[in-house]
Order: sequence, then structure tokens, then C-alpha cells
Amino acid sequence: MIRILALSLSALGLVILQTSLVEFFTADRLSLEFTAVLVIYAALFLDTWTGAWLTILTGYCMDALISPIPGFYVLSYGVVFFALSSISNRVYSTNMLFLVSVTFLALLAEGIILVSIYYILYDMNVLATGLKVYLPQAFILGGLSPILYNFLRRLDRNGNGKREQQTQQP
Amino acid sequence: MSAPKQKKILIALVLFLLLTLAMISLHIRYPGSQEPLRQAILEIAAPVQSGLTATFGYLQNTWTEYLHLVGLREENRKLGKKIDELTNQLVEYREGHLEAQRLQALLAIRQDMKIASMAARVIDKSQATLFKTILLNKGTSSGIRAGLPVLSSRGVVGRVIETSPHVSRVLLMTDEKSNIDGLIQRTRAEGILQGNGSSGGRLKYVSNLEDVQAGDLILTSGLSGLFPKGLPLGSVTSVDEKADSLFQKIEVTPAVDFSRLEEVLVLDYRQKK
Repeated sequence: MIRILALSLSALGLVILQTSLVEFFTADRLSLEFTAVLVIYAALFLDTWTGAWLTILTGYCMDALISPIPGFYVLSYGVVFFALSSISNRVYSTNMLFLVSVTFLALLAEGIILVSIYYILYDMNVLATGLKVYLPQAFILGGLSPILYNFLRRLDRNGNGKREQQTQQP
Repeated sequence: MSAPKQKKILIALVLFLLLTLAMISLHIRYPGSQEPLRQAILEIAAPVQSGLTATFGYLQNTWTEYLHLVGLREENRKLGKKIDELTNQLVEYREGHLEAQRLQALLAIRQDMKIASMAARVIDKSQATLFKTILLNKGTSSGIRAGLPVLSSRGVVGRVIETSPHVSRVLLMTDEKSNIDGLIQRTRAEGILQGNGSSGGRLKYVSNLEDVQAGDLILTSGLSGLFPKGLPLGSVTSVDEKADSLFQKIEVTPAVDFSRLEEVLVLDYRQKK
């Protein structure tokens, strides 16, 4: 229960920081969805239920704070999560090039999903805008992904260590 | 992949798809409906976002002022401390002065328009994403509701699409989902101004027979009843009269600089039924 609460608060905190600070530092010219990297990490390295919960929470917070249409980010993050989760056991790897490529492709896929939903629901082609937003983001976050995954792995390991210590205490 | 894990993923996937489709269907069926959880997240996040935006805005101003004064400080080392103090004061005063000027401009519009309105502060801008929206620090408790037009001292900003008790979300006119009825001030030719998803828009459905020139001012026509007539939307930057089309391709630059938006006016404008 505590873990779920902590995950929920962390997801909300990350989304707030992302929406406020990243756009401030990039002067509103670049969008960097660290939340998407978190979802990819969850799909590749966390257990299914924790990862799915984190994905839905993060997507929901993104929807609430950024998207005018509820469900956009939940759907795109969810599809990315389940697609990666289903292949994660077959192609487990910590190879840097593999992680960079997977992150790059997953971020592009997220953009394509969002553009497709827009097209299906509103019959509007926002591909040009989508490319402007998601292509630079996929390059930058793909390049940063080994560092980000390393950071998340340490966080996860710290959390697990503390939990194990708590359960071992009489 | 092991069978139990595959089963877990399948169950989670089905649950997740049901949840998402329900959310999207609900929104499409009842566009104005408010989700309590979504509102709660907005309410929780708004003060934090507002605080972060204000803090970083202040830091940015201080940093800019500091950069301007670096050369001067090197020449006047003895006065360095004094300059820093004065700079900080200057930043505060300048901020206050600029804010007063902006509010004065909004007040002038408010008095001219004779439509009830309320001023609100921008607490977050999401312009680098696919969606072009901003968050305001006022919501239903201040009388703001979905559909109300939003202005700055320079012209139309967009319209409110979602509200919670203390926060509201505005769809900017640059968003591709935004369509505003407009007319060209010089010729009175009417069209629909649709956002282009970046920093401007296109005036659509203006016949090839109409005379449109770069620099022409675009105003709201008031026909749809969403916006009052005569508010500045932007100006024409380029016109392309395609030989194979009935309509002209007109690119428009908004009157408002969305990157510098700090305070706005929400008009309590009743839609015509």
C-alpha cells in the first residue's frame, strides 16, 4: 500500500516537475517527456503489475495536467508499456545501444500513437506538429536513456533495499 | 515468455483498454463533463506549478539583470554590493511596474468592452507539446466555466475548455483543434482561423476572389457566438492563391505573443443559443 502511494506521489511529482521546469529551461521550444522514459523503464525492468500501475498513473497525471482530452496519454503510454513488456523477457539486455534504440523507437511510437488517436477521433492530421515535437524528443531522450535508466535502477534498488530491511525487522 | 506472465499481461491489457476507452468515450459523449479525480490532480498541482513558475521567473529576471550588470560591476568593484542590492530592488520594482502596465491595459479593454470579465494569472504553459494549452489560477469558484473566451491586452488568446474550482485550462488559438470565426478588417471577407499547431494559424475558406494582402488585420466576426465581434486575432503574413483551389491559403501570425503571456482576461460572454 505504501509503495502504491509512494509511486502515485512520485508520478504526480515527476509530471509537475516535467511540465514546469523542462519547458522553462527549454524556453517552451522543446518537450522532454521524462515520464515516457519512466514508462519504458517500467516495461523493461519492473514487474508487470507495478509497471502497469505506474504507467496508468503517470499517463493519467499527464492527461490531467497537459492533455485537453482525458485518456490520450494513458492510452499511448499503455500501448508502449504493454508492447515492450511483452518482449522484455525475450530480449532482456542492458546493452547501451539496445537501450538507446528501444527508447528512441518507443518514443517515436508514442508520438505516432498520439497523432493517430487525434486523426481517428477528430479527423485531423497533426503529423507535422507531431514530428516537430516527438522527433527531437526521441533523439535527446534516447541519447540520455542509459543515464536515466541507471538513475532509475539506483532509485528502485534503494527502495527495494529499504523495504527488505523493514520486512526483516521483528 | 512464461505462461503466467503472459496471462498477467493479457489481463492487465484488457483492464487497461477498457479503462482508457471508457475515459475517451465519456469525454467525446459529454465534452463539458468534469472528472473529479482529474480536477483533484489539477487542484493539487496548480499551487506547486504556480510556485515553481513564479520562482523560476524571478530567478530568470535576476539572472538577466545580473548579466547586464556584469561589465559594470567589474569596473566598479567597490560599488558591487550596492549594485546587487539595487538590482534586486530594481527587478522587484520593474516587475511591479510591468505588471501594473499589463493590468492597466487589461482594465482598459475591460472598460471598453462592457462585458463582465475577470483577470487571471497564467500558472503553466504547455506549448512545446502536441497540445497548446495554458492553465489559469482561477476556476469555477470565480465564475469561470468552459467555453468562455480569453483575451490578453493584444487580442484573443483562446477559450476555456476545462475548469476545476480554482484552476482552468485554456485551449490556445494556435492549437490545431482551435477554430475561430474571423474576418479580414479591410475587406470584411470571412473565414475560419484554425491553429497550425506551432506559433500561428491559417485563415481557411476565404474565396480566391477576395482581395487579401500581407499585413491585413484579422478580427473575430462574432458569427458563431463564441467570441464577441471585433477582437484582434492576428495579421496576415502570407497569401497563396492556388490556381487549383477555390480558397486561398492564408497564414496568420497571432496578435498575442503566447510565450510572454502572464495575465489574461476571461470574458463572461454568453453564447447565443
